[in-house]
Amino acid sequence: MLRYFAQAWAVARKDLLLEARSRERFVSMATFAVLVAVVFSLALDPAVRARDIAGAMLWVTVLFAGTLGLGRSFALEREADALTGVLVSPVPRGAVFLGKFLANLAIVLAVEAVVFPVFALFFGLRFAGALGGLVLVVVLATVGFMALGTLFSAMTAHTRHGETLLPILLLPLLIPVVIFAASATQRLLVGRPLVEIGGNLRMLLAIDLVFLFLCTAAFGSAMEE
Amino acid sequence: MDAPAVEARGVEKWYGPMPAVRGIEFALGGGEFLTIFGPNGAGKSTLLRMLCGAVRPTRGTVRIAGDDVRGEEEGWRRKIGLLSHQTFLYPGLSAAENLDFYARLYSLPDRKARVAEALRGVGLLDRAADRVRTLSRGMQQRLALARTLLHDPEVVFLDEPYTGLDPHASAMLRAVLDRLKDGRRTVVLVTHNLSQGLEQADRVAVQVGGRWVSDERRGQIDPARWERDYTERVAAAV
Amino acid sequence: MMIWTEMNGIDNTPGETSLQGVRRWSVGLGFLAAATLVGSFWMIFFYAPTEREMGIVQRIFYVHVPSAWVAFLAFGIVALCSLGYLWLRDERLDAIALAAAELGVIFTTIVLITGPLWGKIAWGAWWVWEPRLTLTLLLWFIYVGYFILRGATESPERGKRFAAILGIVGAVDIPLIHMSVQWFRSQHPKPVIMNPEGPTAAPEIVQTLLVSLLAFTLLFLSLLLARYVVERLQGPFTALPMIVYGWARQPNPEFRELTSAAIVVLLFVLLTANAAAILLRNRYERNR
Repeated sequence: MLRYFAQAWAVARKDLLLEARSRERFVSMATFAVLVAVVFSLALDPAVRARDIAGAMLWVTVLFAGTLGLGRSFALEREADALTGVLVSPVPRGAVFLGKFLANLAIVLAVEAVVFPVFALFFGLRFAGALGGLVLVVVLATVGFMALGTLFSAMTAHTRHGETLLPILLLPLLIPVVIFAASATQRLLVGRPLVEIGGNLRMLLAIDLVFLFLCTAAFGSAMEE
Repeated sequence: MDAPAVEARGVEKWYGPMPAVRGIEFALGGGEFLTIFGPNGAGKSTLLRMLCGAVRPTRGTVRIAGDDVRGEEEGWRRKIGLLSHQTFLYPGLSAAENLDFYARLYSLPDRKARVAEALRGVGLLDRAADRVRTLSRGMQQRLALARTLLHDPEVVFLDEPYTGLDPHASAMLRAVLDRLKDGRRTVVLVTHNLSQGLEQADRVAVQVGGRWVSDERRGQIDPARWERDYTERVAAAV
Repeated sequence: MMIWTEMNGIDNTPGETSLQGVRRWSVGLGFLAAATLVGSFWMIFFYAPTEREMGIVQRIFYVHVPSAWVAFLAFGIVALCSLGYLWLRDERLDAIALAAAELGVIFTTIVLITGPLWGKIAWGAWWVWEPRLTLTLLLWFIYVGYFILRGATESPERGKRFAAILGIVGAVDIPLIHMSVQWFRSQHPKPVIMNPEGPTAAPEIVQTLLVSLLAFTLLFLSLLLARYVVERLQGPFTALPMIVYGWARQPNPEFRELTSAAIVVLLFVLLTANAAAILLRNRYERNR
């Protein structure tokens, strides 16, 4: 069991090391997200109070930016067919999935750590008071997002024009995450207490567990040739 | 009695209605060196990948040291190493980091010392901190060799390892392969290049259209006539 | 005949005889479906009374509800067969899953067309984010993705595996989507929706709906088997409209038979649908 996590960590560490070197995913995702914020602020009618729709704007941005970066996750494994080397080694498929998932999670959480303050700055949002709840929502929603995202980016890496295919496959499946995350975020932003989003958090946790179990199990079938 | 190091029983691979590999049967004892020759598209790589458990056979079983490749027990994976014309390396990581990653995957003790030793073995110790992207094709292939042998596998699978190597790198690879023939290690080499892999082989097979058309001891082959024999066999099978 | 021998080579199908059996079932069920459809169309237009509150448009529910039922049935079959395929790697399970997914998309499309037609009259808007309609729309996208993923994957064998994974993930996701859109609705109340099968429903309405459900299920099963036979024969997948064309090209004499049967059934469905439209318009205009 300990070895399982050590191997998963080896995979995650390798991805994070690559990302720390190139920063290609973080930079492209964060730039894209900030640009979306700029576009939103210019496209919105000044009469509309951005605060009323910030939850939806934030999660749409995170969803698109995250999907943008996910495509690279398995593309980098295919450059010199490194994934075959990993799959031939004594690492359980589940540990490979867990490692890829953790690396994706860390990178997207880092992007979110930029996106949320930028939105706060641009749209005058105040979430200092609800920081704890907001972190909880973001982490729970991103776990579910990345569980599905990791599995599907593994599959679309083997397709033609996979980068356009990934959002088409992912978005409808991610609707539950978006609904619960956006409404919870919205409530926290307008200053509602944490207890009010207890239902959202429970649902997000349930979705995470279902997706993680399902995707870990399915990854083995996705990876063999 | 020890189980064969590599054993294939009725191994087949079908892609839809198209056969890639058909009816492969053999058992390879410990320390044997098998070379499989065949033209492009003969299904040699597919066979090799089925032997390593990377591709699932449509039919038949593969055993490594008695363990079924499809079974729950995965201890056999520690016993094998695969070297391909693809290096399986991450271009963005340094030579040492790539080996360190594989050392972690194989849960090897004393990672640092082991990685340094492996790098010295292929003459890349002075390039340890360089990104793989900056290494020449020959150096990358040597690093791939170090990666393959890092965990000291009992069975080594080689898939067209000479592809894209300059004469110097080829000579180095051949020297390492000679060293691999220490009577303990089992080697399966797959190639379409007749000038390589014949001298070290104990056993030579020819695969055409997914089937083995010949399988004989090295002693039965006359190296002088080998090229003609091979061409005749391939022509007869096609 | 080449195809036959090769296909029998890869898996353990008893071969031609069993496929012929499936074909016979398909044709038999097709005729049964046609007969039941006639019955249900008669009931829809002459037997069931016009619903008091909604008027003539309520009749669209006899097509809408059975289509939705069949679509969900289809996606259930996709999930089960996909799971079986990943487990056993039996090509036949993949062929059934593919056939069911195609039909599922077609019947979901019917739901998505008939829903707004009814909604325009009942709710005064073409589209309302009503939970069941939203769920159906997302289902449609998920299963259209099933075909895109399958087609875009480089090796067909891998495409089948990926599609199977999507089939399973999609099916597991359906309850989650359902819960979330229900919850979403409760947060954003919309005008109360009239329940078409509510307590006021007359027995004739219930009977008509039941007959329609039976007719659509039979039609679905017949098409499923037919599509399965074609998939097993042709290997590479084709779109549903290509089925009849595909049959016509088959050299075996049985296929000519099957083609004519299929054309008869399809023509029949088409004609009844047309007749239904005319009747509907006439009655609707008279009632105004």
